[in-house]
Amino acid sequence: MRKAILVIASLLLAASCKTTSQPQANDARLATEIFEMRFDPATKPIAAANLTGLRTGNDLFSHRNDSRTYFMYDAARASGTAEPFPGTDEELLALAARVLERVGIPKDEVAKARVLQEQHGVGAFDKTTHTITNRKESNGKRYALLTREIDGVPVVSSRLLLTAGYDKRASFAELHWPVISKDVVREAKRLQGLVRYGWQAPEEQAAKPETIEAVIIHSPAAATVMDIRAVVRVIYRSADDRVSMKVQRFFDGDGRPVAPPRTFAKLPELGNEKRKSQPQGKP
Amino acid sequence: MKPAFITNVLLVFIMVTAEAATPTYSTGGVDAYMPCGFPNLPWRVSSADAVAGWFNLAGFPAFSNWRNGDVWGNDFRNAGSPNDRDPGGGSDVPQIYLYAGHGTCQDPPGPTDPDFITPCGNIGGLDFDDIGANDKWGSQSGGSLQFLFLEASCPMDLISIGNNWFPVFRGLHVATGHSGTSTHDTYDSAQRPANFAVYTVGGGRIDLPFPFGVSLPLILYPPLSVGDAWMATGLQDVDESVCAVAIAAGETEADAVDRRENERLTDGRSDPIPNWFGWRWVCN
Repeated sequence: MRKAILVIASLLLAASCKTTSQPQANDARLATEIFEMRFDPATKPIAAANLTGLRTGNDLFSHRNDSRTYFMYDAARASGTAEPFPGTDEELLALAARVLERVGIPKDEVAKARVLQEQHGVGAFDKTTHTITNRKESNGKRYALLTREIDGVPVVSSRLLLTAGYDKRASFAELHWPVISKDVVREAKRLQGLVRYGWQAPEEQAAKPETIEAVIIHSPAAATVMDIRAVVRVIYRSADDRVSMKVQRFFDGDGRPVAPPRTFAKLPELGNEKRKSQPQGKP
Repeated sequence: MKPAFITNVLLVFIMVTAEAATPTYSTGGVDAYMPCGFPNLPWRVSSADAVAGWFNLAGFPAFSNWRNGDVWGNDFRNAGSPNDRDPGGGSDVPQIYLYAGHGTCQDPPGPTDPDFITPCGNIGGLDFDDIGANDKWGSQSGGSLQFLFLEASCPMDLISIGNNWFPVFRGLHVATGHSGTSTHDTYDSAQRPANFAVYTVGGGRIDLPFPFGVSLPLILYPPLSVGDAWMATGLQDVDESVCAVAIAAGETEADAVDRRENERLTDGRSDPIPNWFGWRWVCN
């Protein structure tokens, strides 16, 4: 029943959404050119915040208007229970490389291109003995992951992540590769020089610096704002292994802390942010 | 009367009706560990805030968004008082719970080593909650939780997944976490939790103009299953060899596999009888 309600709501939304300022054919053309997606020419583009796109049935194509960021998804072909991509790892990486080429991203910005192999396990649980029976493991989807650098500086927030379906076309992709200004790259190179010549990481209580690196960071693919910064990234390791999540901090060249890029221009109100109950015994 | 007006009236009615069945959520984010003598994690609270932001935009009602010392180990324990059914915001009260804070790893973990949620409560200090020994989530343990997202160190080590995780599924549908070691671990990422959340809701919204003046969810990000969303985002800001892990329970093998691959937050599926488990992972 809820599904039916949501389907009707989605249809009505599509019917009532404002159309984008782009010509109707533009998004459909982009979807075809970049990801070989095919949308009915009658599909109305829709817009929300900084995204525009097309959505019909299982298919979605969208892109940000403030960043070189594209999403595509085919729910039927991308499912882990659908027929898998039959090609080699090299074919998957070649498909990803073609996507970058179609968007006009230079090859020399690819820092590393690799395939991640997802794995699956399944087993029955014996509630009496707490043991697993009928355990089976198998390979799942493969992901092409392309990371980025500019002139030797890692752009750690950028990536192309792509999976493909049985027909060797992309079934899911997040391409987040914003244009970086020359000023930001210049500052990153300056920071890289400082690090090379012994830049000292500020002290962090109860933790020790593990890696120090000049990088470019920016807002994530899903965000209502786009911040881009050159920073020195320091990864600190806890001095006590009883807790070990690594502290990640960003600094400018003078060792002043830099805030991470924002996700929201203005965070929505959260609600119920204060605990009222008091402990009875050890909390 | 204009057709567009009728459409919008119907739209509001339907969305309000649909929203009544959307899942409730809570987040617990802990930056402040120095009161317990351990390194602060500067972006756990803001990352939990961003997750809450996307869930809010998707129309999910917030149950609680507790931060720092307000998050206690007992919020995750099934027994004792208070416990995970603390009506203010225990982890077994909403349908979705995200924890962002420290966990505890071994180097390397063994098949009988525990997994931990390790908050720094404002009374009692650092609290090592042993997941497999203390926690049970879902309707069969008196709670409501369906989806549990642990943004911490090593809360779901693959080698001990049967020991630590199968017993805690008592109506819980899907859980996500990382497998790693104390030397190869996750980073305190400002972005990873929110990137995951947005894919689980296909976040975004549309603002309906006057006379309605309301915001409605709109799907323009890929609306992935919980498992797919974690596989797509769980390896951001982690060391080499860290794995993103998702696990689902099902009555039958096919049910467990289907939930592992395809269950979404808004599916409204019934609580599974945990006879079978399906898990998936991808490593950096």
